[in-house]
Amino acid sequence: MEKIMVVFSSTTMPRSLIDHSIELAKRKQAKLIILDVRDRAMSEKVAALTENIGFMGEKVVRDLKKDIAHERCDIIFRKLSTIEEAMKKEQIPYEIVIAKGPFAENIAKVAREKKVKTILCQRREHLPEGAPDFEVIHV
Amino acid sequence: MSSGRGPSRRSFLIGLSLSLLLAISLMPAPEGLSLQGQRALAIFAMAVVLWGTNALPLSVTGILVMAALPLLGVLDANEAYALFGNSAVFFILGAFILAAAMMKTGLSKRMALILLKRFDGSPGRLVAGVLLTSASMAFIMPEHAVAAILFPVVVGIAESLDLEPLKSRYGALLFLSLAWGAIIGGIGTLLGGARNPLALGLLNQYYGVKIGFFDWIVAAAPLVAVMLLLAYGVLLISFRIDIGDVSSARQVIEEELLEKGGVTEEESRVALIMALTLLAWISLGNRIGLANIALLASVLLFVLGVMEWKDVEDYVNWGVILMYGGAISLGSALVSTGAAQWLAGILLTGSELTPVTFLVGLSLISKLLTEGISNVATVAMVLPIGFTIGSALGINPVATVFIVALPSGLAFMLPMGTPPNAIAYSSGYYEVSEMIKPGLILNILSWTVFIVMALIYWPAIGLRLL
Repeated sequence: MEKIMVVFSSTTMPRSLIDHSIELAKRKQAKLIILDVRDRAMSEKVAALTENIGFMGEKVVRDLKKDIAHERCDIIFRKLSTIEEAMKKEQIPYEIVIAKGPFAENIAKVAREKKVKTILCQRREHLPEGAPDFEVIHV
Repeated sequence: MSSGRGPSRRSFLIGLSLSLLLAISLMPAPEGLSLQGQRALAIFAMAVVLWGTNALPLSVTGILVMAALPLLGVLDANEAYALFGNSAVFFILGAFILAAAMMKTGLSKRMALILLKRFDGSPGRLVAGVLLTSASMAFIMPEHAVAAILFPVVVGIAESLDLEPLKSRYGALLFLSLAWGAIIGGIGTLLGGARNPLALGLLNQYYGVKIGFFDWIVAAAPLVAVMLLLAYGVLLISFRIDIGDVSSARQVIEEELLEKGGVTEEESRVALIMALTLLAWISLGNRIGLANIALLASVLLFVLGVMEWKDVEDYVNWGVILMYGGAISLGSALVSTGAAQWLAGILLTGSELTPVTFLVGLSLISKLLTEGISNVATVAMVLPIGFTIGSALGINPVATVFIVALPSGLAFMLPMGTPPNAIAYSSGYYEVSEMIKPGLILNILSWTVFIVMALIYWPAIGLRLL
């Protein structure tokens, strides 16, 4: 059975990506690997902006980063639940993989491990050297 | 945020800025421009690239500017560093310490919760409550701090209402109210945004003229009031309320207040000092000086044992002082070397600029720039040129300050344009595309209201364009 991987991060989790991956998995009768990369891109970016442009001190920035990271985790958890429900309803076989750390490196690593041929994601990142053994579709 | 693209982009921009510095410094001096003026312009071009792109932190660019001015022989070293001691720099130092005391003691959060509690009841009232609370808080402390303080409170409210990110329109309403309230409130006083004291510092450096604390409020108040109403309307039209009951929000606010317990001795002291400081700024600011009052108030916080120096370091990023020093020194160098006048002459050649087109054009440039770059950087880059062009047209420099500083504080459209927008966007309740249309509408409305206010209201309060 073909495997399609859809990738979310704590930074991006668009609705269109979920709809697109379900539709593709259904059409190709493929198994869907749902990869959730818990990166800190969003919280780091907002914190840097608040520190460098807003001139807020270390404690304010640290607390804000924690609040944002917590909020993003909560959102991704809800999003995964929604996807799981949709998978069960559509009777699409699926597997959820949770990874922490750099976005691009995790995609390549999990894709190789799971022998995935097609990857759906939103963020346009350069995958590491030797990674193009799979097709990446940006939604 | 691409890991691969970031460093190379940064290196390119730093290289570009240094190339501009070298190229402009080494080219044959144009007619009518002194060698020092040419080099001042070269440093200005470098700073525009670095401040505009954030290739280096704003404060580091400030240091680079201060070092480059004596190195290239534009200003004497003592002269350049002395400009760092502008009173606006010390006003912001004191104001940031006061804001730090409000955050450290929890007074700011308590004030926010008490204000929010008054607006529960219906979903529409709660949105208005978040908008007004955020704006009111930004009257007395930096808007970025307000957004950071209110963010976890609004997250708690959204969770209690079981709002689903990206689906719930009400969630988007709450977080955009938080951001836009802070942005609009931030232009209301000298305390809401760092750009306001910077504009004052540049005015003082160029013309020796000051704007009183209360005078600023009087000049900006109608814009703040009208924009809050318009923002509320645009929000409700763009994101229809999809929830009927918000009673659980009250519970969250009450629980937060309960957790904080009674008002502490430290909070009372800070509240008293803050109230006295505000009174002194309004009634004695012109006589004693805004900076002196701010400094005395911050010393009082230490005398009364509310603050320790470690607290100040926790809550304030001192880079703000370096950014200010660099911006004021550069602005001063542009004028004293004749570079600003030369540049204004070039820009004005063949143009039919009138006071009204100056108002329209300069405010529009400030508005457009602030969507892409930091609002402090916008003021630092646009105001020196604005002063010189305005001077050639006989424009009142006080009016020029407001023409640049007020529109440059109003960035509604892009999530990463300003920290309040970024903080609200990080909630995950809306996508970038959903923010752009209402943000653009609000940008157009705010610019229109600003022009009308400048032409009709300002003359009525004695603030003339000419």
